[in-house]
Amino acid sequence: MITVAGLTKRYGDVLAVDDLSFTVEPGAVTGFLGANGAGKSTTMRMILGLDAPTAGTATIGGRRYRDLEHPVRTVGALLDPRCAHPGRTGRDHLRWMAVAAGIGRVRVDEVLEAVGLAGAADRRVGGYSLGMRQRLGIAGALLGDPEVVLLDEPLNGLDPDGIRWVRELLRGLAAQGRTVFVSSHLLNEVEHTAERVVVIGHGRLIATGAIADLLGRTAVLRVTAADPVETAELATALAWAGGRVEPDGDGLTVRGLAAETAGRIALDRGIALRELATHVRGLEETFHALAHGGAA
Amino acid sequence: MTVVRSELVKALTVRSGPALALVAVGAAVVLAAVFVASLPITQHVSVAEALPAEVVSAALVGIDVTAVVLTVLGALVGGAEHATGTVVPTYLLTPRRTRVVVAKAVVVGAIAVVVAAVAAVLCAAVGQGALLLAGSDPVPIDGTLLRSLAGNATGPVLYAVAGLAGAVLTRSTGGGVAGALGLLLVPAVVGWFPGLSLLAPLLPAAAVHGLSGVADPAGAEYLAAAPAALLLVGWLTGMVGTAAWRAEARDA
Repeated sequence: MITVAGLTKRYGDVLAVDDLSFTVEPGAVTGFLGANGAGKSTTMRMILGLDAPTAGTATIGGRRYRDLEHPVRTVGALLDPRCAHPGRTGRDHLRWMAVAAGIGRVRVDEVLEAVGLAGAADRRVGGYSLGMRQRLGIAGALLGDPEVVLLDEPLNGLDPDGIRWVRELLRGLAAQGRTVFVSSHLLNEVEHTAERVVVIGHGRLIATGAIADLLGRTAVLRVTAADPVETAELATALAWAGGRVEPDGDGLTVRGLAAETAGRIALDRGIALRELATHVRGLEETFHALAHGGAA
Repeated sequence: MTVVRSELVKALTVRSGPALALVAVGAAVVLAAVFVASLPITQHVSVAEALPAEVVSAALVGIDVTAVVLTVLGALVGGAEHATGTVVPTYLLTPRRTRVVVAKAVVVGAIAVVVAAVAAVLCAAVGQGALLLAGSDPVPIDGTLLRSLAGNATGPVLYAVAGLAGAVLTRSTGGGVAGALGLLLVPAVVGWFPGLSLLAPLLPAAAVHGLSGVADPAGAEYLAAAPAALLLVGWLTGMVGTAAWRAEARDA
């Protein structure tokens, strides 16, 4: 489990990460969402001990990354697919990593096979496409067969087959009980892959939880009274209950209330409804709603 | 130990490492030949007329180019990590960065020892060969010659590690080369200012000259072998320690 508590990173006047707290549980893929510059990569770097936090802590299984007994066997990470010497072959890149981690050569061949790079393993990394570099980076992350996998934008540069492969890989790792934390700007892809998300904006936590719950929080109700004369009374009652109500044709659009609540309010007032429908947004719309304060 | 082996794999699996090692040896031999051949111009004596020890000493100056090339190699080992981003997986694999910097220094030092030793032997062989060709007796292979070879070989090792430390400090290959070359030039700068001559025996060049036995006992920088060895260890430890401290203190 990854635990981030009060994590803060300041670069001079710029507050890149601001008092961020969340947990990433094992057994699920957790997406890490935020606009460019929101602080995702900085947060991941602090979790991995690459950057020192200005305040707060980030632990993996209760220990700081640098205090882990076998870091690579505990955490596998890909932060940037360009982090490989272009003059070294893919196999040699993984070989020095394996030697540093005390892992045998057989595992290098295994991960090269697993990521589909076995045929290109003896080519220099400088000749790899971005997608191939992503695969090499993922191979490096999997080298130690880690309990926690942390990937920053692993889908960049991948073709549709590659994206599908990563999706299945991440789900498979989570199904094995591992902790999988993955950032991506491809929100629809995250929606298909992750079960939970952490959403940040300007370095601050915006929302965290199961995707299904978040989608519910930003759902929009369409409520229409059977008798149009009662629409105004219904609007007042729903607003009184905390809903953000807007007229929409002959009915109302309501944000911030569950359908069950809206139905009960109408029932209590004796208002018959012709329509009570929930429009659940996709993750992309939900993200924008959360990021711009449109959430419930 | 795994970190040292890993750094060795890194150094040997890019073309620049082995290529620079070969260049360091080859260029030293060529330079040795040039220095010996130019004795009539620089010393106004032919090889046949010169003292055999002077001929071999002239040939051993070829090792200076080994020092320059190995400085570049050392700086590349440190600087390329940052230029290519390899420093990120490196620090992920070994979060205790001091171990990484020390391992790099061990690998650079070991490569430099082998390359400098080969270069020193070949440079001396050039001098001896020139003496034989000129009909002179070669310098006997005794303790004095071996000390001279070993002492001369310490220079490239020192500057290779200085290049590495400078590159880790500045996070650039250029910074490492500039820093090490600066260190190489310090004795000359010190020599310009009489008041600074007190510093001469504390400089790395004093350690190299003291170890090789070429230092003038009456000179400002003179050190006997033992203090010279201690000074060398002090400089190596100081440079690697400073680089490790900065690597630990800064964000990757």
